[in-house]
Amino acid sequence: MGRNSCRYKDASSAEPGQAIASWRRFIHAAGAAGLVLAAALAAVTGADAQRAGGGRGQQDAPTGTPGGPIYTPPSPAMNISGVWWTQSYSPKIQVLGGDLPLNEKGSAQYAGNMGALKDGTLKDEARHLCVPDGVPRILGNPYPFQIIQTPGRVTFVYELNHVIRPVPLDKPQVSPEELEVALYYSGHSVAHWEGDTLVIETAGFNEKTFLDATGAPHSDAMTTIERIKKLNGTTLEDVITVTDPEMFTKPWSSRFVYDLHPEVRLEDYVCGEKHRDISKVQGVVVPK
Amino acid sequence: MTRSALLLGMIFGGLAWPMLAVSETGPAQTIPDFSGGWDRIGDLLETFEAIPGHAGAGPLLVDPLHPHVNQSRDLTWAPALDNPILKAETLAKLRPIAEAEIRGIPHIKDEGHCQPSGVPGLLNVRGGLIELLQTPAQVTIIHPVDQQVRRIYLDVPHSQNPGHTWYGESVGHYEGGDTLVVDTIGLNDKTQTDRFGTPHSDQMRVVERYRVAGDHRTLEVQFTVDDPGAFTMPWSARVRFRARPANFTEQICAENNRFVGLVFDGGKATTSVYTPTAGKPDF
Repeated sequence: MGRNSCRYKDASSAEPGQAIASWRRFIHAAGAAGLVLAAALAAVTGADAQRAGGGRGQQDAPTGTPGGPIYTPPSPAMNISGVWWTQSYSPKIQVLGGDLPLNEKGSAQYAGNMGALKDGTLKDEARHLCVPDGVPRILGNPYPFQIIQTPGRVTFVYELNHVIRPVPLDKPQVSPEELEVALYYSGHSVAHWEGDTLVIETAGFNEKTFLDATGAPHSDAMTTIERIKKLNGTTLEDVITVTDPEMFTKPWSSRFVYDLHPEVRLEDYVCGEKHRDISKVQGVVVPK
Repeated sequence: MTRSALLLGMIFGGLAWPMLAVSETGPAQTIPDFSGGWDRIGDLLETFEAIPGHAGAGPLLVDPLHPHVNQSRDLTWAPALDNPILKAETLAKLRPIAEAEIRGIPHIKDEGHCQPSGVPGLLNVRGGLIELLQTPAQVTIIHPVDQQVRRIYLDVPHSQNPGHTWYGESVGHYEGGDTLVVDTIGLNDKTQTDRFGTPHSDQMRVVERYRVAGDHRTLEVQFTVDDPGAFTMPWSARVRFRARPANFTEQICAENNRFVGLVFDGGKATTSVYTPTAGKPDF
């Protein structure tokens, strides 16, 4: 178990992560149904929490972006904006140089997940309820996604499950407290450029996702480092290194390669509806 | 004014700011800065606001006989149903929703179904900051509530057959150095027009004008809805936002979409609310 997770899981009462999760559920339910009282809304929504001084950034009334809202890449290699689409899909995550280095707990968890997925006691919610796939699973998904570069941020917008992953540039990671209480499917990311490589560091994952479609496990102690680089004008790679001492004996890496598709516009994606044809993506098996 | 003439007025002339119309002899177009987060002003007042000074038809507003926030501070989304924009069949669908609200049974909003809020509904989602991500050929509008996203393609015409989708097909252009004009067609008829639950048809066309203040402290969106399938005439409204530091939190609707007590959904009071699921995975 990771350091962060140990601390809060051992807490005897009013575990802060659960408290926030409960409030989120309340907002989802009550806000959507129109049941929210003014005071409740003011107390717990992101917008109003900011008024009270919470959230990332405290100052009032920002004055826009110096230099304007459009990002100008310093070099063509640092222009990674556009619609990208994986070259191939694999249900099982492809580990560079071998297999997942599972430790004893990881092996047991993986076996349990596989068995439960097979007998139906465990649902793959990313596929059936369309919640986010999380990192790294989302990186290998067979639908196109878009990278949007704006000053100070890179935003990944995935067609699959309309997942949005904001990645601030050259900013400090959110506080350790926020990493503990606000566990995200996609984690909390920050990035910087090392030459022509975008380096994304992510922590603060929840434990609701698998690493792949086979049920490979991770814990909320997982951290990842991605190195994203253009191989040429129309090809992009993302090499991710995963560290999770709760499940693995050592860090391991996986590589994803994408082609640029300027002719593609991302489409709406609502669970259970008919979506884009992905049958031609290498490795995809569309259930009949 | 004919329906098409009014829309052209929105697209090319502006509604309340005719002085902001594009000047053909002016300097090269500057790109207005919509960066950062935008927080709805008037969260608990109205769904959409009437545009001050606008002589034409306006949006549905809260029924004064049934105040939005009553003495018990329960929210009531009951519109004044005498607004002439409502076609008879639209009124017939809306009336039971309003009557349920008055009885204390809230209706389910689009995001309560974990479904997109569409256009103009995305302007109306509470619980987070809306953001406009600007790139040279596109503006992407994102909202943290269920990670909603819509895309506006700049300086291109509509496609020949846009079909019918949740956010439709949006094209846009900048005007006057402070405004983004967005024209949306190809919407489906599954979303609610406003927070009262007013239905619309798939004939709906929406023209929005996003104008950022010179000091970047406020954003106002004026828009015109033209839907001969649901409304007797085009009508216009506005929403206002104030600038906040961007703070895109992760809010996933489907992970626990539950409601307490009776709600009004699908034309009846119920305790069971639909959340989209996939019986068969896509891959």
